[in-house]
Amino acid sequence: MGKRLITAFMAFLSLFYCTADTLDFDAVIGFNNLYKRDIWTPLNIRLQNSGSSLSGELVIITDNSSIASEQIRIYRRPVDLPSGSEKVLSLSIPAGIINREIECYFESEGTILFDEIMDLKQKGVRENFILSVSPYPDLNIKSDHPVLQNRIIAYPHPDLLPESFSAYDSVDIISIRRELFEQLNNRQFEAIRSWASGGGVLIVWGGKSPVPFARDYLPGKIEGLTKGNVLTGLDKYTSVPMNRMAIPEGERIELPGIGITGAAKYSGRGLLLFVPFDYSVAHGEWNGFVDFWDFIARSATPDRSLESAMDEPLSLEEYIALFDQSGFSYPGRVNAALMLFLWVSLIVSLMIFLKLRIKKPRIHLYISGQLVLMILLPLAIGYMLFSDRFRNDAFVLDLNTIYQMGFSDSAFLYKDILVGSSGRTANSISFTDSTEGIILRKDRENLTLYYKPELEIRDIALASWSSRIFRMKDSVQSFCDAEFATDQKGSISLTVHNKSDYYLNETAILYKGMFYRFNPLMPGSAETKLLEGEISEKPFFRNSLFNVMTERLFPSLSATDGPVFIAAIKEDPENISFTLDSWKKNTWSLIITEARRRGIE
Amino acid sequence: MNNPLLEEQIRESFLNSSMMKIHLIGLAAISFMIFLFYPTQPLSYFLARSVEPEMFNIAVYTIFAFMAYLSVKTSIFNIHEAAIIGLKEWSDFGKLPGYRYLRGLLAYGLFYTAFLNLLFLPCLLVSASVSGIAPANFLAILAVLYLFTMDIYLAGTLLFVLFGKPYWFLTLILWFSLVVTVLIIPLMLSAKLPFLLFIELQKSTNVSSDIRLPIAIFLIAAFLLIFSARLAIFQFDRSRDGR
Repeated sequence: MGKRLITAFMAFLSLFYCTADTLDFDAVIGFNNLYKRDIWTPLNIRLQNSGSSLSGELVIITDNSSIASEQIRIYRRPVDLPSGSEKVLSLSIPAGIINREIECYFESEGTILFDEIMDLKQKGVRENFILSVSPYPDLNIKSDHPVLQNRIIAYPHPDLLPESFSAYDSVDIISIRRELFEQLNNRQFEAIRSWASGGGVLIVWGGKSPVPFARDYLPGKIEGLTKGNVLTGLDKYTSVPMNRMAIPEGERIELPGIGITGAAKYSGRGLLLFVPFDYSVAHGEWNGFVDFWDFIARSATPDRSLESAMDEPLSLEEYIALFDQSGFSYPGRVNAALMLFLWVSLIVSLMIFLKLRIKKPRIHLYISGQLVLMILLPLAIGYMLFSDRFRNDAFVLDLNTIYQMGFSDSAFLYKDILVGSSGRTANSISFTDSTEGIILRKDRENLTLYYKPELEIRDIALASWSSRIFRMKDSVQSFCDAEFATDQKGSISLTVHNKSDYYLNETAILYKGMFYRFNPLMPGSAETKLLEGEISEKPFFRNSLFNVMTERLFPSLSATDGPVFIAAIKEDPENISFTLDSWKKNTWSLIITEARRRGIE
Repeated sequence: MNNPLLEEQIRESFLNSSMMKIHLIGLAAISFMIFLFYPTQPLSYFLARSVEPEMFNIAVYTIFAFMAYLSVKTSIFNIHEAAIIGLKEWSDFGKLPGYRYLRGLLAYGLFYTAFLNLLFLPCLLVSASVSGIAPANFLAILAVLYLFTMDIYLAGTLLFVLFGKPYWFLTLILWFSLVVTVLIIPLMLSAKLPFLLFIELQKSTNVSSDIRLPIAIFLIAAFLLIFSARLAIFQFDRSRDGR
C-alpha cells in the first residue's frame, strides 16, 4: 500500500513537473491594455518557454457575434519556442463592441498547453489615441487642449508597438523620440510608415544623437536638416542642428512669435513632423509647446483614410452602388412579390382546374401535367434568379480580410488600387459595364480576376471609400525597378532590381505577347537577362492562380511597348494563417513592373 | 393508376377542398412572409459587413415546419375528411392485400411530398437568391428537404399502420416532436446533425461529399420505416388470416 502511494505521489509530481509553468504567457491588448472598440486592435503576446523546446500553434479566437450574424474569427500563428526562449508575437485583431472576451491557447502536438480567456469588459474606449513613445513618457498637454478632443494619450513601450499598419487604426498621432524611432524593427517601421501615409500624424523629436538619420522617413523626406545656424535660445535642447532657411518654405513649422521650429512634410493624407528638440528636456523651459500642439491639432485630420473596416463605421454605399448594379432581372422586393403572386395564382388555377376534373376517369394525367408545370416553371424562375446572364449583383470588398492583412486572397492589386471582393452567390458572375477589373471568388477555394480592358475604374470617388481600398501605388513601384536595352542586333536585355524584402522566385517577362523565363531574385539583388530561351504564349507560374491572374491581365500588359516584368509572391507577410468560418486565407500578390528603356547600346 | 388506395387518396385527400385551402393559404402566407422579410438592401450590402442575410433560413424553416405538419397530417389521417378508412376497413371491405395497401400509401407519399416541395420551390428560390446561396448548395438543401419530408411522411404512415386508425394526437405529437427536434436541438448541440443541414449546407464548400452522409442516413431511415410498416402489415395480414 505504501509503495503504491509513493509511486502515485511520484507520478503526480512528475506530471506536475512536465506541465506546470514551462510556458509563460502574457498578453497586452491595444496600447497598455487600452483599446478603441470596433476597430482593429493590436494584440501582443509574450511567450516564454522555460521547459523543453516546443513547436506548435498559437490560436486566438475572437467572437464578435450578435443575434444577426455570426462573426467568430480564428487566428493561428505557428510558433517555435526553443528551450529557454522568449518571443513577442504581434497581431491585430478585431475588438468589437460586442466582444466580451478573447480566447487564446497554445496547441502543440495535439496538446493544449494553456488556454487563457482575456476579459474585455469595459476596456474599449471611443476615443482615438495619441501614442507617446519616449523614455520620459509625459506629453504634459493640458486636458482642455484641442488636440485632446476625442483623443487620449497612451504611452506604449517601443517593443510593443504593433507590426501591422492595421493595428494603428485607432491612432491619430504618434509622438516618438528619434532614437527610439530608428531602433524600431523593420516591421514596426513599415507599419508606421504605411499608417502615416494613410493619414497619421507622426512627430519625431530630436533626441540626443547627432548622427544623420539612419532611415528615410515616410514617402516624403524632410529636406534642410543639415548643420547650420542653430536656433537662438533653443540650442541647448537641439541635438540635430537645423538650418532653418534650408527647409523649403512649404515645409517649415512656423509658430507665431517663435519662428521656425521644425519641419513638416505632408505625405499623402499623412503628416510628418520633425522637431529637433528633446521634448522631455525642453518642455519645462519652452512655452512654445502649446503653440506647437495647436499646430498639430490643426493638422491632425479627424477624417482619416485608415478607419476600421469592422461592421459599419463608414459608408460603403457608393461602392455598393458601383459594383452592385441591380439589373432589371434581379428580383427586387416588388419583382419577387409579383413573381410569387403569379405563382400562387397559377397554383390556384391549377387546383381549381383539377377540382373540376375530379370525377374524370383519367385524373392522374391532369395531375401529372400539373406536376410537370410545377417543375418547369420553378426551373425557369431558378434560371432567371441564378444565371449570371440575368444577374449582375453582389460584389463588394472583402473588408475584413483585406484590412487584416493589407493583402488577401480575395484582394487584388489593380493599377494603384487594392481591390477585393467576396461572394458566395453564383459560380460565375458577369459584370456590368461600369466594372473594369475585379477579383472574384469563383468558388470557395479559387479566385478569378474578371477584367475588361476597355473600361475605366477611375470614375470611382476614391476619397469616399478609401478606407476600404488602399492606394498602394508607392509601395508597388518600390518593389522592383526594371530597365531594358536593345543592342544593334535587336537583342533585348532586361535588368531587374528587386528592391523589396521578398524573395521573388516566381518571375516572368512578358514581351510582345510572349512570356520569357526570368531568374529568381533575392531581396536587394539585380539580375540581367537576354530575352531568349524558353518562350511560351501562356504564363508558366507554378501556381495556377498566378497564371490565371496574368492571363486575365494579358490584354493590358501586352499593350505596352517594352517588356513587362511580372513576379508573383505567395507568402504571408505576417505569417498568420487566417481562418474565418467561411473561407481560408492565403496571401498573394502580383508585382507588375513595366521596364524603362535604358537606351540603344 | 391501378392502385385503388392511391386513386382514392388523390380524389378524396389531395383534391379535397379543405386540403386545397390549406395548401393555398399556406403558400400565400409564406409568399407574403417572404415579401415582408425581403431584405431592403442588396446582397452585397450584407456581404460587405460580413453578415449573412437570414431570409433563406427564415423561409426554409417555416416551409419545413409547414410541410412537416402537412406530411404528418396526411400520412396519419390518411384520407382526409371523407371517410377516413383505416387498415382494417380496407382489409374488410376493399379486399385489398396488405402489400398493395402499403404500396398505395407509399406511392401517395412520394407524390404528395413531391407536390409539397414543388409548391414551395419558388419561395425557396427567391429567398435563396437574395441570401446568396450558390445553386449547388441550394440543390443539396432541396434534396435534403425532400428526403426529410418523405421520412416524416413514412414515420406518420408507420404510426397509422401500427395504430390502424387515425388519431389527431398522433399528428400533434409527431409534428411537435419533429419541430422541437429541428428547432431546439441545434441550439443545444453544436455537433453536425442532420437537422443542422439547412445551415451547414448553405456554407458547404464541398457539397457533393458533405451531402452523402445525410442522404445515406435519410435513405436508411426511409428503408427502416418502410420495412417496419411492411412488417406491421404482414403481422396484420397474418392475424387476419388466422382469425
